[in-house]
Amino acid sequence: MVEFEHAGFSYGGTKVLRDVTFSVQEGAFCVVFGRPGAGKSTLLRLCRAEVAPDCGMVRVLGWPVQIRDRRGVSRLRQRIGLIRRDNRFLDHLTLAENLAVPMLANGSRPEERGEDMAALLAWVGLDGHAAEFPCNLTPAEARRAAVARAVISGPELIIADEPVAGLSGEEALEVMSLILELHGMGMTVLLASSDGDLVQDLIAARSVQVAHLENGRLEVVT
Amino acid sequence: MIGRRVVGRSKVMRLLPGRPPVLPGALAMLLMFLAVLTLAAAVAADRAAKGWGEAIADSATLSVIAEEAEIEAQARAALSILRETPGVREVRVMDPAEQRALLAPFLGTGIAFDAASLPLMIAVESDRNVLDAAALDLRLAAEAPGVVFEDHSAWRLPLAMAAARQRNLAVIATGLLGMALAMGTALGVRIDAASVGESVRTLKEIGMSDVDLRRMFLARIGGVLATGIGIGMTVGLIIVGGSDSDQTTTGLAIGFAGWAWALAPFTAGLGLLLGLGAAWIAADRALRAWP
Repeated sequence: MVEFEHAGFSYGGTKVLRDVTFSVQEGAFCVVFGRPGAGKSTLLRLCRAEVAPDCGMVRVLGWPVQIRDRRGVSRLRQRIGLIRRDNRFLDHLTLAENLAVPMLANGSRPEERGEDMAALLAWVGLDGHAAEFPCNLTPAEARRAAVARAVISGPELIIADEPVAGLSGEEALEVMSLILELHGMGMTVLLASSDGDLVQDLIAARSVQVAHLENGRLEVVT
Repeated sequence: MIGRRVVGRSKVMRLLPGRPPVLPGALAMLLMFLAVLTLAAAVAADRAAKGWGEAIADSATLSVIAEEAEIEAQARAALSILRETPGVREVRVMDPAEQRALLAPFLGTGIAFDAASLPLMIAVESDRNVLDAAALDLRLAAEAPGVVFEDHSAWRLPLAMAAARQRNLAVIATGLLGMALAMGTALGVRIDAASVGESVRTLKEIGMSDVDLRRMFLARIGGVLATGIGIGMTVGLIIVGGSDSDQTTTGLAIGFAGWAWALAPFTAGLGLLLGLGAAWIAADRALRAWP
């Protein structure tokens, strides 16, 4: 699913990732743990082909991200569901319309999937919010809406970058339980977090692959 | 239920917020208006050159400049030569009133024509395909030395050259207007892209392809552009169409006649294509700026 081979990346002259080698198998739940600024988000950006590695090789869903083919990059992103701390929505569209956007991106017809969308909104606890605008959602609701948007078009990989950061314990639990449920359904998850307690809880809850990122070097812990 | 209520494709396709900038539309309107006027002026000049050229092509004038006692003999000799010359269709001695009317635009009406010593003038209508003007000039010089042959067709070439220059200038001017339209449209797209940058970033993050995003920009700017071009062309045509139709036909007034009316919509179509091409390139460049 995700393969890094001696990958490196730097912003300007600052090395952010050095000689990173690891892989995430299909159906796995991989947690990349590290303090803020360790390079976790950059690693996830590499996975989504937002940037290309300076050296080495990064292959995601079989696509080598160093190939900067724009059509290929957008197809890759259509196959990945993204959940972030600061999820961006199209503020001029309602929540349901925002959920329809990934379907439009991959060429499917959202008007034929209205029932699926309703079910998905109910699953994330946002039934009744379909006609609301994203700016009216609470941070926790927005995070759950992001989960719904991430899975609406049936991605092969879920990338979660600090998905529960800034949420209260209960809200974080709701979001994490959704992500765990997705993993339980067989979805591959790559999650980055700087929250040590969260990582400990995940290790306790199920078999997860943990990698520790420090000073740009990644060490696979379990 | 939700599907019916919320996600009609046409509504969701409004993925970029707000309205596109009006600058390209306003610019397109102004430039298209100017293009219509420029083309109309060129067409009118061309038509005038052709009309006047045809009118003078078969005419010439003989001026008999001699002592008063010899004028009649010289005129008789010239008339005799003209009647024998192949290609001469009609020869007519101008009467003094006709001469005055001919000279009045140049000398004014206040001149005492009776006191002035005016040459005797002979108007000649000929068939240009048959008449050998050079041979006639030579023969007149030999047999009637007081007669000056003024071949009006000599003015045709400068007229045609002036019309061609005007035509070329119109083409260059229209080309420059087109370039200005392309640059204005590209600028409009860049402004538009900057104003909806956050939405573009979100859409790219979700996996919207650059092809689709480019299409969205083109649809937004295309509407503004087409409206501007349409209004500019219509206003231009109304103004040009208001010219006196008789004068338009003779080329004395700026305007289109006959097939030349098609130039305006043709130029508008070209302008729209040019603008869309510029928008395509500008949108593509703008989209490269987002990861």
